Amino acid sequence: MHHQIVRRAGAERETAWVLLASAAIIACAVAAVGLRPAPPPEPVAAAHQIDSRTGLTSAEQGLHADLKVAGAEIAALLRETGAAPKPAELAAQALPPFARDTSATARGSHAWTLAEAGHGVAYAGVSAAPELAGSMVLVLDTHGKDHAEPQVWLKRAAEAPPPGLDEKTLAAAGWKQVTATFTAGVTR
Amino acid sequence: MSGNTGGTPKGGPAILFDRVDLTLGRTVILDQVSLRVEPGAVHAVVGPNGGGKSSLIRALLGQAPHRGMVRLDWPGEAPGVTAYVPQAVEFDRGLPMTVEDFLAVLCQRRPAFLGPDRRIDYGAALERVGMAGKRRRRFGALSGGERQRVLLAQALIPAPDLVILDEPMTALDETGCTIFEELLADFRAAGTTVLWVEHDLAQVRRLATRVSGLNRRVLFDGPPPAMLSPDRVLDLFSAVPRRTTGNAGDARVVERAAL
Repeated sequence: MHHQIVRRAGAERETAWVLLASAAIIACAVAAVGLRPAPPPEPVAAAHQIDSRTGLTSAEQGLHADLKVAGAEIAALLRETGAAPKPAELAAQALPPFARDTSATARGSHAWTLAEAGHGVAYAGVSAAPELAGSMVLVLDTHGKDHAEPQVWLKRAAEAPPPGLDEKTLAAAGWKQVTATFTAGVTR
Repeated sequence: MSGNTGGTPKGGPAILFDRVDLTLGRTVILDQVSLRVEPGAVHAVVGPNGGGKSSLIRALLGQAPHRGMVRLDWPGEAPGVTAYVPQAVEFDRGLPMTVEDFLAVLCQRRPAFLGPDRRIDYGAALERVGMAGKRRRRFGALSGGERQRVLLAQALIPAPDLVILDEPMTALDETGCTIFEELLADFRAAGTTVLWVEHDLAQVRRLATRVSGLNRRVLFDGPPPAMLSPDRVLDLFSAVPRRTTGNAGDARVVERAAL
Protein backbone atom coordinates (compact mmCIF):
# COMPACT_ATOMS: atom_id res chain seq x y z
CA MET A 1 0.00 0.00 0.00
CA HIS A 2 1.44 3.30 -1.05
CA HIS A 3 0.17 6.37 0.75
CA GLN A 4 0.38 9.50 -1.33
CA ILE A 5 -0.32 12.72 0.52
CA VAL A 6 -1.51 15.46 -1.81
CA ARG A 7 0.44 18.58 -1.00
CA ARG A 8 -1.42 21.86 -0.86
CA ALA A 9 -0.71 24.28 -3.65
CA GLY A 10 1.58 26.99 -2.41
CA ALA A 11 5.05 28.41 -2.56
CA GLU A 12 6.23 27.19 0.84
CA ARG A 13 8.89 24.88 -0.51
CA GLU A 14 10.13 27.31 -3.12
CA THR A 15 10.27 30.02 -0.46
CA ALA A 16 12.18 27.71 1.84
CA TRP A 17 14.68 26.89 -0.89
CA VAL A 18 15.15 30.57 -1.76
CA LEU A 19 15.66 31.44 1.91
CA LEU A 20 18.11 28.55 2.25
CA ALA A 21 20.04 29.73 -0.80
CA SER A 22 20.09 33.30 0.54
CA ALA A 23 21.31 32.06 3.92
CA ALA A 24 24.04 30.03 2.22
CA ILE A 25 25.16 33.05 0.17
CA ILE A 26 25.22 35.29 3.26
CA ALA A 27 27.08 32.61 5.22
CA CYS A 28 29.68 32.38 2.43
CA ALA A 29 30.05 36.16 2.37
CA VAL A 30 30.39 36.32 6.16
CA ALA A 31 32.94 33.52 6.11
CA ALA A 32 34.93 35.19 3.33
CA VAL A 33 34.96 38.52 5.14
CA GLY A 34 35.63 36.95 8.53
CA LEU A 35 38.43 34.70 7.38
CA ARG A 36 40.20 37.35 5.32
CA PRO A 37 43.55 38.13 6.98
CA ALA A 38 43.57 41.45 8.79
CA PRO A 39 45.57 44.19 7.08
CA PRO A 40 49.15 44.43 8.37
CA PRO A 41 49.48 46.86 11.28
CA GLU A 42 50.68 50.32 10.36
CA PRO A 43 54.40 50.77 10.81
CA VAL A 44 54.98 52.52 14.09
CA ALA A 45 57.27 55.50 13.83
CA ALA A 46 60.45 55.24 15.91
CA ALA A 47 60.82 57.59 18.87
CA HIS A 48 63.17 59.84 16.94
CA GLN A 49 60.88 60.04 13.91
CA ILE A 50 57.89 62.18 13.15
CA ASP A 51 55.33 61.61 10.43
CA SER A 52 55.30 64.23 7.71
CA ARG A 53 51.54 64.03 7.22
CA THR A 54 50.29 63.93 10.77
CA GLY A 55 53.12 65.34 12.91
CA LEU A 56 53.94 68.62 11.22
CA THR A 57 52.35 72.03 11.33
CA SER A 58 51.29 73.49 8.03
CA ALA A 59 54.37 75.74 7.88
CA GLU A 60 56.58 72.74 8.59
CA GLN A 61 54.82 70.73 5.92
CA GLY A 62 55.52 73.49 3.42
CA LEU A 63 59.17 73.69 4.45
CA HIS A 64 59.52 69.93 4.28
CA ALA A 65 58.11 69.82 0.78
CA ASP A 66 60.38 72.64 -0.33
CA LEU A 67 63.42 71.03 1.28
CA LYS A 68 62.78 67.76 -0.58
CA VAL A 69 62.77 69.63 -3.88
CA ALA A 70 65.73 71.71 -2.86
CA GLY A 71 67.60 68.56 -1.83
CA ALA A 72 67.33 67.19 -5.37
CA GLU A 73 68.40 70.56 -6.75
CA ILE A 74 71.41 70.80 -4.42
CA ALA A 75 72.42 67.21 -5.24
CA ALA A 76 72.40 68.13 -8.92
CA LEU A 77 74.48 71.27 -8.26
CA LEU A 78 76.89 69.15 -6.17
CA ARG A 79 77.40 66.77 -9.06
CA GLU A 80 77.91 69.65 -11.48
CA THR A 81 80.26 71.85 -9.49
CA GLY A 82 81.64 69.42 -6.90
CA ALA A 83 81.03 71.92 -4.12
CA ALA A 84 78.01 72.46 -1.96
CA PRO A 85 76.23 75.73 -2.81
CA LYS A 86 75.97 78.20 0.01
CA PRO A 87 72.53 79.17 1.32
CA ALA A 88 73.08 82.69 0.08
CA GLU A 89 73.66 81.38 -3.44
CA LEU A 90 70.53 79.29 -3.22
CA ALA A 91 68.63 82.31 -1.93
CA ALA A 92 69.93 84.28 -4.92
CA GLN A 93 68.47 81.59 -7.18
CA ALA A 94 65.17 82.13 -5.36
CA LEU A 95 65.12 78.46 -4.39
CA PRO A 96 62.68 77.93 -1.57
CA PRO A 97 63.00 77.66 1.35
CA PHE A 98 66.32 79.51 1.15
CA ALA A 99 64.85 82.47 -0.70
CA ARG A 100 63.95 85.40 1.51
CA ASP A 101 60.42 85.89 0.46
CA THR A 102 57.09 86.35 2.17
CA SER A 103 56.43 82.65 2.49
CA ALA A 104 59.80 82.17 4.21
CA THR A 105 58.79 84.92 6.63
CA ALA A 106 55.42 83.32 7.18
CA ARG A 107 57.09 79.99 7.84
CA GLY A 108 59.36 81.21 10.63
CA SER A 109 62.13 83.18 8.89
CA HIS A 110 64.70 80.40 9.12
CA ALA A 111 68.34 81.40 9.11
CA TRP A 112 70.05 78.82 6.92
CA THR A 113 73.71 77.86 7.32
CA LEU A 114 75.82 75.27 5.54
CA ALA A 115 77.25 72.65 7.86
CA GLU A 116 79.53 69.71 7.22
CA ALA A 117 77.91 66.44 8.03
CA GLY A 118 79.59 63.08 8.60
CA HIS A 119 78.99 61.75 5.08
CA GLY A 120 77.98 64.82 3.19
CA VAL A 121 76.61 68.28 3.57
CA ALA A 122 73.80 69.65 5.69
CA TYR A 123 71.81 72.83 5.67
CA ALA A 124 70.64 73.92 9.10
CA GLY A 125 67.85 76.40 9.39
CA VAL A 126 67.25 77.94 12.80
CA SER A 127 63.75 79.12 13.23
CA ALA A 128 62.97 82.58 14.46
CA ALA A 129 59.45 81.52 15.38
CA PRO A 130 59.46 77.92 16.72
CA GLU A 131 55.73 78.11 17.43
CA LEU A 132 55.14 78.45 13.67
CA ALA A 133 57.77 76.03 12.47
CA GLY A 134 60.63 74.36 14.30
CA SER A 135 64.25 74.48 13.27
CA MET A 136 65.09 72.18 10.42
CA VAL A 137 68.12 70.39 9.03
CA LEU A 138 68.49 69.04 5.51
CA VAL A 139 71.12 66.30 5.45
CA LEU A 140 72.47 65.23 2.08
CA ASP A 141 74.52 62.06 1.87
CA THR A 142 77.04 62.83 -0.85
CA HIS A 143 79.25 59.81 -0.26
CA GLY A 144 76.60 57.19 -0.43
CA LYS A 145 74.46 56.35 -3.42
CA ASP A 146 73.70 59.16 -5.84
CA HIS A 147 70.00 58.98 -5.29
CA ALA A 148 70.02 58.67 -1.53
CA GLU A 149 66.98 60.48 -0.20
CA PRO A 150 67.85 63.70 1.60
CA GLN A 151 66.96 63.53 5.25
CA VAL A 152 65.03 66.28 7.00
CA TRP A 153 65.27 66.70 10.75
CA LEU A 154 63.13 68.90 12.94
CA LYS A 155 63.29 70.34 16.43
CA ARG A 156 60.71 72.73 17.75
CA ALA A 157 63.20 75.16 19.27
CA ALA A 158 65.28 78.07 18.05
CA GLU A 159 68.55 76.21 18.28
CA ALA A 160 71.22 75.06 15.91
CA PRO A 161 71.77 71.31 15.45
CA PRO A 162 74.62 69.63 17.29
CA PRO A 163 77.84 69.15 15.33
CA GLY A 164 78.38 65.88 13.58
CA LEU A 165 74.83 65.76 12.22
CA ASP A 166 74.48 62.01 12.22
CA GLU A 167 71.37 60.20 13.29
CA LYS A 168 72.56 59.36 16.79
CA THR A 169 73.70 62.83 17.77
CA LEU A 170 70.61 64.48 16.28
CA ALA A 171 68.29 62.03 17.98
CA ALA A 172 70.18 62.40 21.25
CA ALA A 173 69.81 66.18 21.05
CA GLY A 174 66.05 65.82 20.72
CA TRP A 175 65.76 66.25 16.97
CA LYS A 176 63.22 64.23 15.05
CA GLN A 177 63.58 62.82 11.56
CA VAL A 178 60.67 63.71 9.31
CA THR A 179 59.49 60.53 7.58
CA ALA A 180 56.77 59.75 5.14
CA THR A 181 54.86 56.55 5.81
CA PHE A 182 52.45 54.96 3.39
CA THR A 183 49.46 53.63 5.26
CA ALA A 184 45.83 52.77 4.54
CA GLY A 185 45.01 56.35 5.49
CA VAL A 186 46.85 57.68 2.43
CA THR A 187 44.28 58.40 -0.22
CA ARG A 188 46.29 60.46 -2.63
CA MET B 1 -4.05 15.62 -18.12
CA SER B 2 -3.08 12.17 -17.03
CA GLY B 3 -0.09 11.57 -14.88
CA ASN B 4 1.76 8.44 -15.86
CA THR B 5 4.15 6.71 -13.56
CA GLY B 6 4.10 3.49 -15.54
CA GLY B 7 3.10 0.04 -14.48
CA THR B 8 0.11 -2.08 -15.31
CA PRO B 9 -3.34 -1.24 -13.96
CA LYS B 10 -3.67 -2.91 -10.62
CA GLY B 11 -6.88 -1.47 -9.33
CA GLY B 12 -7.72 1.99 -8.19
CA PRO B 13 -6.70 3.76 -5.01
CA ALA B 14 -8.79 4.72 -2.03
CA ILE B 15 -9.08 8.49 -1.56
CA LEU B 16 -9.28 9.96 1.89
CA PHE B 17 -10.25 13.54 2.57
CA ASP B 18 -9.68 14.21 6.26
CA ARG B 19 -11.03 17.48 7.66
CA VAL B 20 -10.18 19.39 4.51
CA ASP B 21 -10.63 23.16 4.71
CA LEU B 22 -10.29 25.50 1.81
CA THR B 23 -10.60 29.25 2.17
CA LEU B 24 -9.93 31.54 -0.75
CA GLY B 25 -9.66 35.13 0.40
CA ARG B 26 -12.39 35.33 3.02
CA THR B 27 -14.70 32.87 1.29
CA VAL B 28 -14.97 29.47 2.91
CA ILE B 29 -15.15 27.00 0.02
CA LEU B 30 -14.73 23.76 1.93
CA ASP B 31 -15.37 23.40 5.64
CA GLN B 32 -14.08 20.31 7.46
CA VAL B 33 -14.78 18.00 4.56
CA SER B 34 -14.14 14.38 5.50
CA LEU B 35 -14.84 11.84 2.82
CA ARG B 36 -13.61 8.41 1.87
CA VAL B 37 -13.74 7.09 -1.67
CA GLU B 38 -13.42 3.32 -1.71
CA PRO B 39 -11.09 1.63 -4.21
CA GLY B 40 -12.88 0.73 -7.40
CA ALA B 41 -15.95 2.79 -6.53
CA VAL B 42 -17.77 5.12 -8.88
CA HIS B 43 -18.16 7.87 -6.35
CA ALA B 44 -20.33 10.78 -7.38
CA VAL B 45 -20.21 14.18 -5.72
CA VAL B 46 -23.35 16.24 -6.11
CA GLY B 47 -24.29 19.64 -4.83
CA PRO B 48 -25.38 23.11 -5.82
CA ASN B 49 -23.27 25.51 -7.84
CA GLY B 50 -20.55 27.06 -5.70
CA GLY B 51 -20.80 24.19 -3.26
CA GLY B 52 -17.11 23.37 -3.61
CA LYS B 53 -17.30 20.32 -5.88
CA SER B 54 -14.70 21.54 -8.35
CA SER B 55 -12.60 22.88 -5.47
CA LEU B 56 -12.60 19.42 -3.93
CA ILE B 57 -11.18 18.11 -7.20
CA ARG B 58 -8.61 20.88 -7.29
CA ALA B 59 -7.54 19.97 -3.75
CA LEU B 60 -7.23 16.34 -4.83
CA LEU B 61 -5.09 17.41 -7.79
CA GLY B 62 -2.86 19.48 -5.52
CA GLN B 63 -3.92 22.74 -7.13
CA ALA B 64 -5.64 24.32 -4.13
CA PRO B 65 -4.16 25.73 -0.92
CA HIS B 66 -6.19 23.41 1.24
CA ARG B 67 -5.74 22.57 4.90
CA GLY B 68 -6.24 19.12 6.29
CA MET B 69 -5.18 15.90 4.66
CA VAL B 70 -5.87 14.54 1.21
CA ARG B 71 -4.43 11.07 0.87
CA LEU B 72 -4.40 8.50 -1.91
CA ASP B 73 -3.91 4.91 -0.79
CA TRP B 74 -2.57 3.11 -3.82
CA PRO B 75 -2.47 -0.67 -3.95
CA GLY B 76 1.10 -1.71 -4.63
CA GLU B 77 4.30 0.15 -3.99
CA ALA B 78 3.99 3.12 -6.33
CA PRO B 79 1.30 5.59 -7.33
CA GLY B 80 -0.61 4.56 -10.41
CA VAL B 81 -2.03 6.58 -13.28
CA THR B 82 -4.39 9.45 -12.54
CA ALA B 83 -6.61 10.73 -15.31
CA TYR B 84 -8.43 14.05 -15.14
CA VAL B 85 -11.27 15.14 -17.37
CA PRO B 86 -11.98 18.85 -16.98
CA GLN B 87 -15.38 20.40 -17.37
CA ALA B 88 -14.30 22.22 -20.48
CA VAL B 89 -11.08 23.17 -22.15
CA GLU B 90 -10.12 26.70 -22.99
CA PHE B 91 -9.21 26.51 -26.63
CA ASP B 92 -8.65 28.80 -29.56
CA ARG B 93 -10.94 27.44 -32.26
CA GLY B 94 -8.67 28.82 -34.96
CA LEU B 95 -5.65 26.83 -33.83
CA PRO B 96 -4.59 24.51 -36.68
CA MET B 97 -4.43 21.41 -34.55
CA THR B 98 -5.93 18.02 -35.27
CA VAL B 99 -7.58 15.77 -32.71
CA GLU B 100 -4.52 13.57 -32.79
CA ASP B 101 -2.24 16.57 -32.21
CA PHE B 102 -4.37 17.54 -29.24
CA LEU B 103 -4.03 14.07 -27.74
CA ALA B 104 -0.31 14.10 -28.46
CA VAL B 105 0.11 17.37 -26.56
CA LEU B 106 -1.63 15.89 -23.54
CA CYS B 107 -0.53 12.28 -23.51
CA GLN B 108 3.01 11.88 -24.79
CA ARG B 109 6.40 12.96 -23.58
CA ARG B 110 7.74 13.39 -27.10
CA PRO B 111 7.15 16.95 -28.33
CA ALA B 112 3.86 17.04 -30.22
CA PHE B 113 5.33 19.01 -33.15
CA LEU B 114 7.43 15.93 -33.97
CA GLY B 115 4.18 14.07 -34.57
CA PRO B 116 2.21 11.56 -32.55
CA ASP B 117 4.11 8.87 -30.70
CA ARG B 118 3.60 5.60 -32.61
CA ARG B 119 3.83 3.56 -29.41
CA ILE B 120 0.67 5.17 -28.11
CA ASP B 121 -2.52 3.92 -29.71
CA TYR B 122 -4.55 7.11 -30.04
CA GLY B 123 -6.83 5.37 -32.53
CA ALA B 124 -8.02 2.82 -29.96
CA ALA B 125 -8.79 5.52 -27.40
CA LEU B 126 -10.71 7.55 -29.97
CA GLU B 127 -12.56 4.42 -31.02
CA ARG B 128 -13.72 3.85 -27.45
CA VAL B 129 -15.31 7.30 -27.42
CA GLY B 130 -16.78 6.89 -30.90
CA MET B 131 -14.40 9.31 -32.61
CA ALA B 132 -12.49 6.73 -34.65
CA GLY B 133 -12.89 8.47 -38.00
CA LYS B 134 -12.11 11.95 -36.75
CA ARG B 135 -8.50 11.75 -35.63
CA ARG B 136 -7.40 14.01 -38.49
CA ARG B 137 -10.17 16.55 -37.91
CA ARG B 138 -9.25 20.03 -36.78
CA PHE B 139 -9.90 20.20 -33.05
CA GLY B 140 -11.43 23.66 -33.28
CA ALA B 141 -13.98 22.42 -35.80
CA LEU B 142 -15.42 19.80 -33.42
CA SER B 143 -18.74 20.30 -31.71
CA GLY B 144 -18.86 20.75 -27.94
CA GLY B 145 -19.94 17.14 -27.43
CA GLU B 146 -17.16 15.85 -29.65
CA ARG B 147 -14.59 17.93 -27.82
CA GLN B 148 -15.81 16.47 -24.54
CA ARG B 149 -15.42 12.99 -25.99
CA VAL B 150 -11.84 13.80 -26.98
CA LEU B 151 -11.25 14.90 -23.39
CA LEU B 152 -12.58 11.52 -22.29
CA ALA B 153 -10.27 9.83 -24.79
CA GLN B 154 -7.18 11.55 -23.37
CA ALA B 155 -8.12 10.15 -19.95
CA LEU B 156 -7.85 6.62 -21.36
CA ILE B 157 -4.18 7.05 -22.35
CA PRO B 158 -2.52 5.34 -20.59
CA ALA B 159 -5.07 3.08 -18.89
CA PRO B 160 -5.91 4.97 -15.68
CA ASP B 161 -6.17 3.66 -12.12
CA LEU B 162 -7.94 6.77 -10.88
CA VAL B 163 -10.27 8.88 -13.00
CA ILE B 164 -11.36 12.33 -11.86
CA LEU B 165 -14.32 13.64 -13.81
CA ASP B 166 -15.56 17.22 -13.49
CA GLU B 167 -19.11 17.33 -14.85
CA PRO B 168 -18.29 15.36 -17.99
CA MET B 169 -21.89 14.93 -19.09
CA THR B 170 -22.65 18.64 -19.28
CA ALA B 171 -21.44 18.96 -22.85
CA LEU B 172 -22.00 15.40 -23.97
CA ASP B 173 -24.65 14.63 -26.55
CA GLU B 174 -26.89 11.59 -26.34
CA THR B 175 -24.41 9.29 -28.08
CA GLY B 176 -21.71 10.68 -25.87
CA CYS B 177 -23.75 9.85 -22.79
CA THR B 178 -24.10 6.25 -23.92
CA ILE B 179 -20.38 6.08 -24.55
CA PHE B 180 -19.73 7.60 -21.16
CA GLU B 181 -21.91 4.95 -19.51
CA GLU B 182 -19.93 2.24 -21.27
CA LEU B 183 -16.70 3.80 -20.12
CA LEU B 184 -17.92 3.92 -16.55
CA ALA B 185 -18.86 0.24 -16.78
CA ASP B 186 -15.37 -0.52 -18.11
CA PHE B 187 -13.80 1.44 -15.26
CA ARG B 188 -15.86 -0.48 -12.74
CA ALA B 189 -14.93 -3.78 -14.33
CA ALA B 190 -11.24 -2.84 -14.24
CA GLY B 191 -11.43 -1.79 -10.60
CA THR B 192 -10.58 1.79 -11.47
CA THR B 193 -11.58 4.36 -8.85
CA VAL B 194 -13.78 7.07 -10.31
CA LEU B 195 -14.45 10.37 -8.56
CA TRP B 196 -17.22 11.99 -10.50
CA VAL B 197 -18.60 15.46 -9.94
CA GLU B 198 -22.04 15.63 -11.49
CA HIS B 199 -25.21 17.62 -11.23
CA ASP B 200 -27.43 15.25 -13.22
CA LEU B 201 -28.92 13.39 -10.28
CA ALA B 202 -30.76 10.85 -12.44
CA GLN B 203 -27.49 9.74 -14.00
CA VAL B 204 -25.84 9.62 -10.61
CA ARG B 205 -28.60 7.45 -9.20
CA ARG B 206 -28.25 5.10 -12.17
CA LEU B 207 -24.49 4.91 -12.58
CA ALA B 208 -22.76 5.72 -9.30
CA THR B 209 -22.03 3.18 -6.60
CA ARG B 210 -21.88 5.86 -3.94
CA VAL B 211 -22.84 9.49 -3.74
CA SER B 212 -21.89 12.40 -1.51
CA GLY B 213 -23.78 15.63 -1.20
CA LEU B 214 -21.38 18.53 -0.91
CA ASN B 215 -22.34 22.05 -0.08
CA ARG B 216 -19.24 23.39 1.55
CA ARG B 217 -19.63 20.51 4.01
CA VAL B 218 -20.46 16.89 3.38
CA LEU B 219 -24.21 16.76 3.89
CA PHE B 220 -24.70 13.10 3.14
CA ASP B 221 -22.69 10.14 1.96
CA GLY B 222 -24.04 6.74 1.02
CA PRO B 223 -25.46 4.56 -1.75
CA PRO B 224 -27.40 6.59 -4.32
CA PRO B 225 -30.86 5.02 -3.99
CA ALA B 226 -30.92 5.72 -0.25
CA MET B 227 -29.25 9.09 -0.41
CA LEU B 228 -30.99 10.68 -3.33
CA SER B 229 -34.43 10.85 -1.75
CA PRO B 230 -36.46 13.90 -2.75
CA ASP B 231 -36.21 15.40 0.75
CA ARG B 232 -32.44 15.16 0.92
CA VAL B 233 -32.05 16.54 -2.57
CA LEU B 234 -34.31 19.45 -1.76
CA ASP B 235 -32.31 20.11 1.39
CA LEU B 236 -29.04 19.93 -0.51
CA PHE B 237 -30.08 22.41 -3.14
CA SER B 238 -32.03 24.73 -0.88
CA ALA B 239 -29.22 25.28 1.59
CA VAL B 240 -27.87 28.75 0.87
CA PRO B 241 -24.34 28.83 2.12
CA ARG B 242 -23.38 32.28 0.91
CA ARG B 243 -23.65 35.22 3.24
CA THR B 244 -22.61 38.64 2.10
CA THR B 245 -20.73 39.19 5.38
CA GLY B 246 -18.56 36.21 4.62
CA ASN B 247 -18.53 35.22 8.28
CA ALA B 248 -18.06 31.47 8.40
CA GLY B 249 -19.60 31.03 11.86
CA ASP B 250 -22.78 32.85 10.94
CA ALA B 251 -23.06 31.04 7.65
CA ARG B 252 -22.81 27.72 9.45
CA VAL B 253 -25.71 28.64 11.71
CA VAL B 254 -27.80 29.65 8.72
CA GLU B 255 -27.00 26.40 7.03
CA ARG B 256 -27.98 24.33 10.07
CA ALA B 257 -31.23 26.23 10.25
CA ALA B 258 -31.85 25.50 6.60
CA LEU B 259 -31.26 21.83 7.15
